[in-house]
Amino acid sequence: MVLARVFLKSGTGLGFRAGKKKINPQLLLMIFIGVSFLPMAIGLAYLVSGMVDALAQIGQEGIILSLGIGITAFTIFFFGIFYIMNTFYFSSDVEYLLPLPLKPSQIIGAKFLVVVIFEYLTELLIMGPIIVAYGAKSNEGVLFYLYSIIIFLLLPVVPLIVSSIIVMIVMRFTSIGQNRDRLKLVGGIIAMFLAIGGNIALQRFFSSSLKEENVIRMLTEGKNSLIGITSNIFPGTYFAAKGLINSTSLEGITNILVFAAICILGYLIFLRLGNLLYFKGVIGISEIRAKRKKITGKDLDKAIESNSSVKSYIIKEIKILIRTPIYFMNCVLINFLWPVFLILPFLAQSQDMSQLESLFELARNGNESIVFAVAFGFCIFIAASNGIAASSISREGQNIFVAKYLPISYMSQITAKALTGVIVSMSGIVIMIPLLVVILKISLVIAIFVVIAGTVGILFVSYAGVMIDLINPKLIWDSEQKAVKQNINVLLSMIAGVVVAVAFFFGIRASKLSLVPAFLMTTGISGLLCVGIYKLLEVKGVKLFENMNA
Amino acid sequence: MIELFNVSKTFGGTVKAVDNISLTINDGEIFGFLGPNGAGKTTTIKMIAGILNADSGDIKINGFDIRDNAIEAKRQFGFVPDDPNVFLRLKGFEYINFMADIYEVPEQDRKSRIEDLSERFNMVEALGDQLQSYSHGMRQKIVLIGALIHNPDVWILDEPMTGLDPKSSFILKEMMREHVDKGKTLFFSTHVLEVAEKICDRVAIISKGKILFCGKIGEMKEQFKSDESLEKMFLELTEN
Repeated sequence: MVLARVFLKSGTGLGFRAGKKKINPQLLLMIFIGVSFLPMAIGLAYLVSGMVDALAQIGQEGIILSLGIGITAFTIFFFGIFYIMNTFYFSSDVEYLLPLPLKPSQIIGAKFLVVVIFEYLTELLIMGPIIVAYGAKSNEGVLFYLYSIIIFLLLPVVPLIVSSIIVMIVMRFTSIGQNRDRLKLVGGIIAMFLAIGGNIALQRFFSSSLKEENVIRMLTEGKNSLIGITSNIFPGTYFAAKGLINSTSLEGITNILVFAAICILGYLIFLRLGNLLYFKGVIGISEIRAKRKKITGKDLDKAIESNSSVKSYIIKEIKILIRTPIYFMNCVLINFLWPVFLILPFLAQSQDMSQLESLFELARNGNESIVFAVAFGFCIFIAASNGIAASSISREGQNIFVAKYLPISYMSQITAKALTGVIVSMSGIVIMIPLLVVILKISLVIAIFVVIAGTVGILFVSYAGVMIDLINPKLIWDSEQKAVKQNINVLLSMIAGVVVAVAFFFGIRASKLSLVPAFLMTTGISGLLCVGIYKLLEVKGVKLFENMNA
Repeated sequence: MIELFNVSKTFGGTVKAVDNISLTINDGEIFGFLGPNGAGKTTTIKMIAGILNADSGDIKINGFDIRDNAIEAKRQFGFVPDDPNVFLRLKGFEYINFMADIYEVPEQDRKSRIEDLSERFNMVEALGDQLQSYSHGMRQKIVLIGALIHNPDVWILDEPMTGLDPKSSFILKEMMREHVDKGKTLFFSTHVLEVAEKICDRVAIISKGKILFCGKIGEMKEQFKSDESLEKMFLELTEN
């Protein structure tokens, strides 16, 4: 329990107060994320409420609970693979724990508990609205809510045990853990694409489940007969679903007890396996393999080239962004995935591509300045949300002192960091624009205007991102994830980007300007904003950088 | 030459880490900066290198004020921090090339300097690998190479021997002597008093933010009126 408490504190950063700050930025970030998911939770609750009414008529309302439990369990299992891998094997505390007189089961038992607690957040987002809406709509009693709490606390256990066992076996018997960067990168990319694919599949399932033949099948079977199909993903989830559905009868408590027993048994098996597999898979994993190949004079001639200090700084920033898996996935790759996320809702409508086609029609023949405004706004949003500029100071971490003693002015360093954001953001846009011209058939003129105006707009947003990060940089972190994903500055930059993009869109729409004047106005205003933020950085930004300590 | 005039630094409004110290490190001497943990050594070094701003006083390197003429002052020295875990995703030669760009080392000089320094520190085979694959000692060496690539007049080294194997330690001491013999300046902090005793021309001992002694080791022995080792004199000074 002591170990679990330490892991939890260092994982959330909630136990530590940085300096004189009255409000812990970490807590603020968590509250903000929670609030931003509220609309989704409310939407889900309304959906469930409607489904209860519809399904209760054919005696299949229980499917909502079993589906909810099944989907939650699967989501926990899937993402659990990555959490378990990072927590059990790649976290920075592993090297300090191994020499301590602790059994493997004690280490992984504590880490497992921490992962379960983190998964409660995922569970709350899915199960919370379902339970509340179902319970309210079906007028469930106290026992329903009591069983819900028990299920809520125990549901992550079995899926995470399955994830843990898979990971422990893979790490024990393969050499896959030897190149941890490649493993993290490949794993992260697979997770991203599977999440996209899973989203499409889920949406198609819901849209096709209301087909006639499915409805007829439900009508003839009745009595919650379908819960067996939807909840039998993991051992125990069927009993959890049955226990909840039959909360008013003896069958309810029996099933809950069986579910609890399965979880406890599973945990004991997990600890036993952990004692056998964990240490052999984790010892030596923090060693980074190197080639140690001698560089010849010729190689050195090719490798050694002189650049200006700003260019060299930019190259350094880009290399670190690309070579660090967390930075690559969250800051670089995301620039190229946004078009996929946008088209996703349309692809999910399997039979009906008419919505996608009307989007094509709008792009081809709609008001040119509106098309330009939308595309420009999109460029701003991509640059503001990739977090490259808004985490550029935070990513230095404890190494910020290097920036202080090198003979390169703070303004040059700020410019290099902003230009890094511009280069990476533009590389995604420059690839996307030709695709839009070919697929959506937007005019070449609009495309060229978007690239020009977009570059100026992205420069402004990048400078603004660096300014945001200079005001409150997150320099104390022990994993790169905390520098970019758990960094409120990235969120603030995203919000600012949305505000700017929306302001430009409505400004262009209200002005009723045609394409060329709209382009000139947008580029001109973006240029003025660039000058303004540059001046602010020269005065305030440099001062903040000068006074910064890790 | 490094000059500190009445330099002070306070943290949190109450903790005086450096209390009104004045020092001059002359050209042509190896100057050792000694003190117990928490004495103010690293704070002083960080102020000299421009990492921290002094609350009061002036610091000049070869006549350039570190605050008023920061860029020019920073060009005068090569700095080796006590923590060599920097830019771990860069390869060895990339790190050195980056430092060479920042210090504007001419391209024609780079290759020969990199070859010479990497051979001296036995790092030739590691240059193609990322710094994260290096041991602590190797990271220390690559940071050293990066600090010396521009052939600075002033070397500022914070605990430079930590993690170095005996051969590299010997080579570094040799290089330090070669450097000052050319009339250049060297300022370093260390906990290893035997090294300080062996190679330093002058030392300063700092404790609780104040300079307790500054001068040659021979002068310290005269002051103590004994032939004790530096270690004994140091302990007496700092615990008294």
